[in-house]
Amino acid sequence: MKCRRKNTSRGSRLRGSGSGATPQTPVSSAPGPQQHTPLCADATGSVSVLRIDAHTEGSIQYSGAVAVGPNGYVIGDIYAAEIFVEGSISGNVCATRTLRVAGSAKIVGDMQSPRVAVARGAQLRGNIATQGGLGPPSNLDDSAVNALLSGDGVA
Amino acid sequence: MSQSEAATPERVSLLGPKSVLSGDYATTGDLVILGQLDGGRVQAAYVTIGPEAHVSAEIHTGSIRIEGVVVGDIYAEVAAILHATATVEGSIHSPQLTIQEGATINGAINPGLANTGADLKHLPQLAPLRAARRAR
Repeated sequence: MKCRRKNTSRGSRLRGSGSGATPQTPVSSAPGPQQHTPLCADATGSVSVLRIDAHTEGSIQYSGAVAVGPNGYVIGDIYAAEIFVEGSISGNVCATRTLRVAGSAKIVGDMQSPRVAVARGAQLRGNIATQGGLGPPSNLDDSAVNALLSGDGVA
Repeated sequence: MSQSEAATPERVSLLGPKSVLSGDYATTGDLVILGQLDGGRVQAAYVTIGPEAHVSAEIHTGSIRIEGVVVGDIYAEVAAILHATATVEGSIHSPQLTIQEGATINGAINPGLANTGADLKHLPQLAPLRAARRAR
């Protein structure tokens, strides 16, 4: 596993590397007017969200929520309280509270979190462990979860 | 969701909530498990595992919907759906996996099987389970 860069500070900013098509993808604590606003941004309230919309190499440790956007591609491990994945991750994913995987996501690596939600269409390869018992109940709006899991036939 | 032919009661095998079955089980139709099944291998077109069910077996199926406990590997050619009440101890081989938040999993996730094009019309229906509940 390559770990060239480690981002531990809250103020760390990740910018798109060499992708001119991505117009200004700064990491901000406030959900932007993007179409793919991470669900966890609403859920966590004051908790800041590290949003990644670019190709990123290196492990990420963050005290808040990490959202990997649909264009995000992370090579390295991610440790955070809450993780929401719409893009690709090549590495282990460890969320101390919740891990949500959208249908567009692609993860190659082990996943660990007391609460895991995977939408249909997500491509996963690796181990999943939900050991450690259920974490605190999610304050995420149920309708938002259902919207995330929409179309999968889950009643 | 449209009611597919697969969900008609004639094709559904039901293992009731008080039942305990030890051994292998194979059917060409659907299988709804509400009780306990301890065996080596379960094979069915569509498998639905109820919330009170406990299955210790290797499961081979087209699609599977899990609300109860499964101890063993799962091979689903089309799709696997884990509800929030589901507990799975074993690897899941399926090109399409849906996990509702709250499900307990301990095992490997592997797309494994050849992608069958994931015919979404043939996802397992809840209808057999609901019909079984009504019958009780």
